[in-house]
Amino acid sequence: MDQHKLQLKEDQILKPFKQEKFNIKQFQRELEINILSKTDDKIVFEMINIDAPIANSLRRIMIAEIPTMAIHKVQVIQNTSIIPDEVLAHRLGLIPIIADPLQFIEKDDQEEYNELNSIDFTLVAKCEKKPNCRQDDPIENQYTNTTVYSSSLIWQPKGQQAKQFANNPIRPVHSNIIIAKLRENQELNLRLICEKGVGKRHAKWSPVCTAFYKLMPSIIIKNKLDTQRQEKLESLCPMKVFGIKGNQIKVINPRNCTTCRECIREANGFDKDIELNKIDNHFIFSIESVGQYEPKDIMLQAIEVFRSKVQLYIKE
Amino acid sequence: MNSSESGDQDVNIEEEELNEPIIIAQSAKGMEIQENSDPFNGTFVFFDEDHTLGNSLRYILANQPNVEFCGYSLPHPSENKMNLRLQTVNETKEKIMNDGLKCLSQICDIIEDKFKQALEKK
Repeated sequence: MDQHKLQLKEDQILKPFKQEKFNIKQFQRELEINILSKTDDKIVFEMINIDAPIANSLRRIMIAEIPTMAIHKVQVIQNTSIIPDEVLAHRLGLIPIIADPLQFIEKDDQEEYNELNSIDFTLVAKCEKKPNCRQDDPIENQYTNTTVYSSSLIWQPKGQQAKQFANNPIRPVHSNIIIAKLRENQELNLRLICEKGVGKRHAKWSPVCTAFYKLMPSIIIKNKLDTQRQEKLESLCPMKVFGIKGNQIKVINPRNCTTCRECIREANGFDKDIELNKIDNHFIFSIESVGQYEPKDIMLQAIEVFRSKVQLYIKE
Repeated sequence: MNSSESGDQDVNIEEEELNEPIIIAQSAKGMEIQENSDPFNGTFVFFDEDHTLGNSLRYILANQPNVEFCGYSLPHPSENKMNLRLQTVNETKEKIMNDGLKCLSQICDIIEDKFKQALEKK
C-alpha cells in the first residue's frame, strides 16, 4: 500500500521509486470497481488497483472516440435574421441529437448521403405580427417566433428510418436551446444534415460534458492536537474534510479534498502534523453525459472501442 | 516560338500538380515494421493512433518478460503516426507485440466484467 502513496508537500511531491509491474492474473484478482453514485446524466465510480496508462486510455476514448450523431451540413435556403449563416451553422452543430449511433455508419468522403449515414432535419420559422395584439404588449406576445428554440427542428425520416426509430424518435436532447432571435418579417428556412463522427474530429461529437478521474486522497493526522488547534484545523479546510468527533479530530470526508494544500501550508502551522497523500492506483472516475448515451453506457462503449482498437492489430 | 511553348508546358504541369487532390490524414488504420531485418529489435509504426493506444501498449509491453526496452513517441502532431520501439531477448518482437495486444484485450474483458458486476450490485 505504501508504495502507491504520493506524498504532497507545500511545493513538491514525493514519490517512492517503484518498479512498474504488471501481471494479468494479479490484475484480474485485485481490480475492484465500485459505483459511488449514479443519476440520469452522471455516474461516479472508483477503480482500485489499476495503473494510470489504462485508466487514461479509457478517459481519452470517452472524450474523443465514442461516436455520436451531430448536425454537420446546413443548407441555408433563407436566413434574414441578424445571425450570419456560418455562426448559425456552428450553433446548430453543437445541438446534441438523440439517435442511436450504432444504427448508422460513418460517411465516406465520396459517398452520397443516404438513410444509413445521415439524418435530415428542417427548420422553418418566420416572425410575423399576431392578429389582435396590443401595442403595449411584450414583444413576444405581439409576434410569432421571436425566439427560435431547438424544438423547431423537425425530423424528416429517410427510407426505413420512420419505422426503425418508431420507439425512440430522433430529436434534440433539449427542446429549449435558443437557436436565434427574430424580429418582424425575419425568416429562417434551413435544411440540416446530421452525420456520424467522433470527438477527435470536432468536439460537437463528444458524448461527454466532462469525463475525468482524480486520485483518492489519503490524509493522516500524525500527532495529537489540543482542543484549540483541533478547532483551528477544522475551520481551516474549505472542503470540510476534518471533523471533531468525541473530542478527537478525525478525517471524515477524505473524498471532498481538492488538494488545495491549505492544511499543509507552513504558515498555518500544521505541516508537521498532517500528511497529505494520493493513492496512485485508486482512480475516482466521474462521467457526465451530454444526453445521447446513458452515463454507464459511455464507460461500456469506451471499453468496446478500446477492445476493437486493439484487436485490429492482433495476428493469430 | 519554341521557348514560349515550353513555357506553356511548364505552366500546364504546375496546374496539373495543383489540381491533384491533396489527401489529408485519411483514416487508414494499420501497422508496419520499419526496416524489418532484425527479429528482436524494431520500430512498429501505427497509423492513425495516438497516446490512447501508445501509452497503454507501452506500459503492457515494458512489463512483459523478455522485453529489454520499449518506448513510444508521436513524431509530429500533423502526421497521423505513432512509433513504438521494441527491443526483446529470446522471443521475436512480433510474438511479444502480439502477446501484449492480447493482454490489453483481456484487460478490456476484465474491466467490462467487473464494471457490469458493480452495476448489478448498485
